[in-house]
Amino acid sequence: MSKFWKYFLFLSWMSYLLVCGVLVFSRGFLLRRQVQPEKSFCSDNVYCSGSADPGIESECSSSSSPLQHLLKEEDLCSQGRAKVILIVIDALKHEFASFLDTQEPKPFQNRLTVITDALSQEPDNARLYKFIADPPTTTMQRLKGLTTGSLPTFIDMGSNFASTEINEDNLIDQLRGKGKKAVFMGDDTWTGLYPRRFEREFPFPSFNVWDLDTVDEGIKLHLQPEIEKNDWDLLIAHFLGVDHCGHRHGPFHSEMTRKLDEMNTVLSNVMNTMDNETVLVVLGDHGMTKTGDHGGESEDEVTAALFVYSRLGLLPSNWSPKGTTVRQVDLVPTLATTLGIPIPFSNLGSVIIDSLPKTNLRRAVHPLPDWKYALLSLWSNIRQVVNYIETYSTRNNEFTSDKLQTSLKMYSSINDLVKNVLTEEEFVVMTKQGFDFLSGLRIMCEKVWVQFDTFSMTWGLIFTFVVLFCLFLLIEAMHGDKLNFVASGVQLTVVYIGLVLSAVVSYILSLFRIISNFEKAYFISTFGTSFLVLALILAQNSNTILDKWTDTPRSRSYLGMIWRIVCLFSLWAMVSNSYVMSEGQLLSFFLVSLMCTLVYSYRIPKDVGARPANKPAKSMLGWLKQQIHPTRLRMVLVTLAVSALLRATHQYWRCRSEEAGCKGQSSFQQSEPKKKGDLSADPHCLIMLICSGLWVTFTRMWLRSCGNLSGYSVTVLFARYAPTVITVCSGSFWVLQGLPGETRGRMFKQWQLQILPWTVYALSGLTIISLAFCPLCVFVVRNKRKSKSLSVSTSANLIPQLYNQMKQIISGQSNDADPSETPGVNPVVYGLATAYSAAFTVLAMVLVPVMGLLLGSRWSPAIMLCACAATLLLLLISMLRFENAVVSVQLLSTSWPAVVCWSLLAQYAFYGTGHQATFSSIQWDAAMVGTSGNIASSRFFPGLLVIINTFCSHILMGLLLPLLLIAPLTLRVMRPRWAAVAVGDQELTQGELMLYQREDLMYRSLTTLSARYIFLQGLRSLACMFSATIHARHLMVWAIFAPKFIFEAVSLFVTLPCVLLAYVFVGRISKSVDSLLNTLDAGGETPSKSSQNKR
Amino acid sequence: MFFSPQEDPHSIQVIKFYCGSTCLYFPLLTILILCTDLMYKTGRFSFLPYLGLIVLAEFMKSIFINNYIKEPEKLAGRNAPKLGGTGVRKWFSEKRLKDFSKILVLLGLVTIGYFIIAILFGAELFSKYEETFMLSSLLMLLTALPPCLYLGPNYALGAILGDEPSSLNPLSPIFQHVVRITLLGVWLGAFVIPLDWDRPWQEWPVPCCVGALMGYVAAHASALIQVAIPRCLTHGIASKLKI
Repeated sequence: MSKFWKYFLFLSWMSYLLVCGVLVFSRGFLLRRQVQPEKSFCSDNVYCSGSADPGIESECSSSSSPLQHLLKEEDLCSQGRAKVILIVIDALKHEFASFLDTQEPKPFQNRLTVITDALSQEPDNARLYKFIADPPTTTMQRLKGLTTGSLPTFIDMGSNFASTEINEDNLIDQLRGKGKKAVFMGDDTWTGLYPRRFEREFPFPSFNVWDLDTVDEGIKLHLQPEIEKNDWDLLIAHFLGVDHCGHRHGPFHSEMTRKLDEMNTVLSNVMNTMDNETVLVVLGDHGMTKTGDHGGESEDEVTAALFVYSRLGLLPSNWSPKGTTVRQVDLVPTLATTLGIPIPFSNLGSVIIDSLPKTNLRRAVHPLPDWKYALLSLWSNIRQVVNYIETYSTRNNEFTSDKLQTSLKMYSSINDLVKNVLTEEEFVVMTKQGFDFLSGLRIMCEKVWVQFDTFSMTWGLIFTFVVLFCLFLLIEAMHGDKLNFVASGVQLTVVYIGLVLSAVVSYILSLFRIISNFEKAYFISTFGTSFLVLALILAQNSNTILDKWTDTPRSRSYLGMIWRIVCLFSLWAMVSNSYVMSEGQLLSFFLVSLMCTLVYSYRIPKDVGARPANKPAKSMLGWLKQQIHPTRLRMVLVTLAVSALLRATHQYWRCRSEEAGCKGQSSFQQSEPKKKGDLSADPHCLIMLICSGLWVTFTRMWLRSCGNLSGYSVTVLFARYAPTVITVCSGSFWVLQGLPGETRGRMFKQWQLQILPWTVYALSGLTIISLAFCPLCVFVVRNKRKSKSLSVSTSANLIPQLYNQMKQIISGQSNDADPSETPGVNPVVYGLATAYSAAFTVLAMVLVPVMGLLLGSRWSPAIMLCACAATLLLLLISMLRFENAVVSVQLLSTSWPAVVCWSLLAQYAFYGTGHQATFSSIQWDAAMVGTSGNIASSRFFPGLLVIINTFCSHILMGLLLPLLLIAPLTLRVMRPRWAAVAVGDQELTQGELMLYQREDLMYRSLTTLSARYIFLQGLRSLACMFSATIHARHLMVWAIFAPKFIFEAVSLFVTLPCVLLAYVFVGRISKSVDSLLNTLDAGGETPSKSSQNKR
Repeated sequence: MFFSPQEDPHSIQVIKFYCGSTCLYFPLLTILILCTDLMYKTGRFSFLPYLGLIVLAEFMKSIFINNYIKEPEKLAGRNAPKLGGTGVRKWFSEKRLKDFSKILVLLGLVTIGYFIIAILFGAELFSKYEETFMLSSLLMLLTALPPCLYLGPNYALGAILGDEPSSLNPLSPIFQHVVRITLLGVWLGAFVIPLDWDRPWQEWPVPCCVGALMGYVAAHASALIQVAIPRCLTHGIASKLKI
């Protein structure tokens, strides 16, 4: 096995173990609730309704207290009183529906006048509530809660865009079970949750967040005819326009006014056409923040509106102890009671009494009095919840027994109470107790379902720690002079066979049900195998490791300690919620501090540093210039430039919703609504265009000066033209997107706009593919006679010489077919000295504009700024690298501080490009770029786009990691004076070819570098896991620590393959260089090394 | 330990006096600032008089050291009237004036430098100029003024930036030490700012100023300890280690 593959296998093995460790932990930490398969049922005929069979009816009339009889019934079914029109207006906040007496209403205020009018004119027929959602406030979780009545758990949230069928007992299934019909129209999330359940359905795609009207227009088309058909019991209409408007423009935009007015018209039409036996329920599934986003648990997101209206009249509101604030799960028993179906089995809500309709005289012949009806529905609700809790607790011992006992005792006391209720007054007293009991149960469940699996969490932590520790020991030992270290090929083979075997065996065992839990068995066997081999390797090399730890002369300079302090502090910061919230600030602070200390502790070499200090300067400026050594001045300037670039990205930060005064900016909404016909350019668009133009121009200039843009190979052609086209396309895409909707609609069709991003994707993909197949950007001129005679000193007639040389080159090319014509003349290879870095530069040159396209016009300059900062950081690190290099070989080892800097920059750029570790700040709009219209087929591509958008910094920095190794050599070739240090080794003049010539050393250093980077990233994940564990009962665990852990874990998962890919890419370049030099040798020519760097 | 001062008795005397006097009056000043409301004023222009106090103390120290602690060979080889004459002439000399203007320019540049660095580290860009300016001028007084006074303008910047000491002044390593520890204090002070405790002393730049003052005291104290606590201690440890 070659060294290259051995190191690669080692790295990927370690990465795999890290991923496994984090996954084990997350299985314990991210909670799941067990879904119970039971369905509720009830006999249809229970009480004295007209449809009941005569026997019971006679009993009803004969018995003195029918209520007592009914309460004894086991399977109470409520009496259906009305049909229901359920109108879901996505993200209808309570603020939108309630009336506020103000002179200057905000764009969203006082728009739903029909609600206000109904409340004031028909107070007996209308109710408006604050409708508190259980976080997470994403639409699918809310719909689950609104139909099953159960509490969502954290794990559900990730599957928002891969909605799956609901198997838990729910309203729709109960309706069908009773032979009633449901009609649905609107958001297609419903049909994903409930496929084939509706009598008729009119789904519309929900994904296109920029499309404010398609869904709503579609619903409006079908709503009135369906209402008039009148063959349904439940009609669901789910409007999306308000939510999309919030995402796109925010609540303060004039579009919001328009959408709310539209909703107002819809509602008033429905209220006019609906008959007297119908209850209209209008609700928002969640609210929105001031930026129009949702997903978290802030009060703005949680507080939705619920409006109930019926001509039947609603039960008096003083019967309900809840007041005007209800939970979203409470809707489920209410609807079930109204429709006359059993309450779904796993419901935890309690019926909202004052929104139940009054007696429907036409349906029931001998109706119960209203208060008895309310009492019965409350009682059946209580029975159902108690039944659920009992069933659940027999299967899992999650509830503590004393709590269970207390609640059962309360249940029996209520049971006694309810049988003695004879009058309305007693009933009102009883309701209070009933609701207290129900809410007590719900809170108990909420607490229990935040129960962690400590076993998995502990083992996840231990596994990750052990893997990181071993990795650290191995790479630190390898960093020494021992060349042949790390596992032998045999050991690696054994490990991989072991890994595959453990997967297969545990799969087979679980297939035959010999072991119950496949995942646990798999993880245990994986870690068992790996740790055996790891222990073997460590034992074998224990001498080397111990030598390393005892022999290394410790440098006690306390400035050298700073990077360790910075590392520790940045890990320690994960434990504090304030630091997690201001992590962007913290990371940039650490990065700047680290760079400053690096420059401060730089010692100017003595021989070069003999400065003419005693010579008096003539002017003040000259005197100032004397004060600081030019090398140091250069470094200080570069540091200042990096810091300034980082500081400039501070304006792209997003604030978290927890922070005070977070006005926020959403990615794609303009600060002010554009007037119709206003075509003036958005300033962000302008900045974006300038930035991306500058980025492409500068990278091209650099490549050209390296000589990597000459010639006609495929890669060079792509490198020459693709970035320009990409930039133009993405720029024009955003400029056109910035146009007001009507104008854009007049000018282009939807698909025409989508051509632009597709061009970008195609071109970047092709460039990357061509880079993979022929990674060298070099130009071989085999025949060149006079170029060596061209010296710059004869500058007097330089231009004619140049012209001659040009002619020579052209004629040389024409003779190129037959190189034997000019034997003995060395070929000239343009750009060979920077062959390695050029490939990475091309990669960055293509990737950065693509990420800019995904980030949107507002945020795309940030990624350019970060990329520039990374470039300058490379420059700084390379300049510092020459400081203590005595032999050229030492240039190939990357020091810890450099890797820490790079890793900090990757972490910081996450915040610098407008991201935050919260779910509401994920820029879902990135999924829309180039996909709108045809995404229904696959969720993979949009998901990929969102991942690239969110973790663009990790991807970029991970892929460019090898540059840390390469950059000093590039600097030595391109700017020899900047790296003018004692190392006068002849080897260095070859530039990056040195990497090729010392291939073994290069792979070793590269492995060390990658392993150190992986180690740092893994350490951050470990710190997040640790803080999540110790804060598992913290108030803000779901708001701060859990999202932080998830983002950190995903960033680790993204970083690992990027680093491995970069490693393979370096190997690929080496191979190409090898074959190129071999061809040159085979041509009977010795490549002239001195002329490799011709511009 | 922290730095490597010259070994001859004269420089030890100078260092002892310099650090000792600072350790006498500066903790008092720091305690005064910490215990009164002055702490919250460190970011206001109204704090300037107290900065003036620091400057005054520094000037007095420098006058004392320049006049009373003489190097022995100089002391031996000079006669009194000549010294007086040259002293008066020197005071008004063109070179003095030039040096003075150089010092002013240098101090101004250092202040601007600290201002920019504070912003790069994350201080607010479009507001709180007053606070940032006060912090940078405090840092300038603590770190740049003493080197300018003792080493002269030609060596001051080198001492601040941590070049190899090219001046023979015994205090030059002390200054580097003070710069490092003071800046470390400011750096550590910044850590309490993002915490959500809502205390008045978390306001920018109060913790940084306090950190600077404490770091300054700590630097002088540690330097004094290293020099004043006799070598017998360190030598003893060193010799034990060697055996």
